[in-house]
Amino acid sequence: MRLMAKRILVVDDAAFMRMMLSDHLTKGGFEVVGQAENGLVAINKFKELRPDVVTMDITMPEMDGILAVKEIRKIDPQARIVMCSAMGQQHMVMEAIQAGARDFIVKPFDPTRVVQAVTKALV
Amino acid sequence: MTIASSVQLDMLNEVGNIGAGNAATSLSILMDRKVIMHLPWTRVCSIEEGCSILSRVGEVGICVEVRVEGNLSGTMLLTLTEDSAAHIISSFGTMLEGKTLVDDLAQSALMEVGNIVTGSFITAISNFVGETGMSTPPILLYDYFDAFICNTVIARTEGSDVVLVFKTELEVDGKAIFGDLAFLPSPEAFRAITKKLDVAEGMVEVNG
Repeated sequence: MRLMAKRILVVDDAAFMRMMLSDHLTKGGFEVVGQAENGLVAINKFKELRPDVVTMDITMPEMDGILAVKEIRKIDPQARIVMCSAMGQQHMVMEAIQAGARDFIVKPFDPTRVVQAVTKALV
Repeated sequence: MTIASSVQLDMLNEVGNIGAGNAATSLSILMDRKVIMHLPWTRVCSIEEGCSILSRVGEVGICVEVRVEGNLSGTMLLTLTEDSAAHIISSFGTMLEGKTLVDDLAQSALMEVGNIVTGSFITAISNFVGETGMSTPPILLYDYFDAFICNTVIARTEGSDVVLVFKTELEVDGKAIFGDLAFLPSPEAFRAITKKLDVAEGMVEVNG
């Protein structure tokens, strides 16, 4: 019996990065069920889709990723979130981890590391 | 207020070289292509001189503008000629096949390239000065160089008459990419940079 692919919500303000990340995840055997371009949209999509894992960018307009992590964890304290950070954002990654994010991946994304981090977040 | 000594300019160029190295590594991963980035010189100049160095009069190009917040606040600009930006787009292969500079996805990819390059330089400057600079989401301008350069540079100087120009030589898959990189520091950020350069120069003199 084929197992159901785990459902992922991809959050990033850059359309190109959402596409790249979705491509890496799909090739890694995951199903990308939704995409969001900022923290506010991410919260609504989380409520609507209830994904198994959320990949969350940090710097975004409207609402940043750290605040979105805090809000999503209020909705579901078990929510699994992997942060997507750029170079030089170590302190923000730490804040997100303290807020309940499981792991982080650093841009530009290495496909193997993306799949590994999301898989680990599911354990 | 300017940085006069050649020792200080050499140090700044060295900081830029670290940024260029990190940018090239990150771009190679993003594009899955061989990327080389050299930094032949760095200049600290007035707005007027900065505009004339960065403008390519009569040419159309791309400018990725990134606001930096924190103690190293200011604006970073990455400019690219139209041909060079188009080459970068084509280097992404099937992912951006058939896309041109007016497509949202192609512009999004160029903003990511801008994010990586400006972010690498800001990180290098932050590490050198010991102050933080946090990038905000980028803006992309597609226009004549003289239009966006002068408008952006003048609008973003925040009271300081200083532009740091990093002359970059970028190569993607063996093809030269034409463009420039500039940092428009706020007066506070520029003070922090010059203070650190003064201290570092003093150490060079003592040890030299």
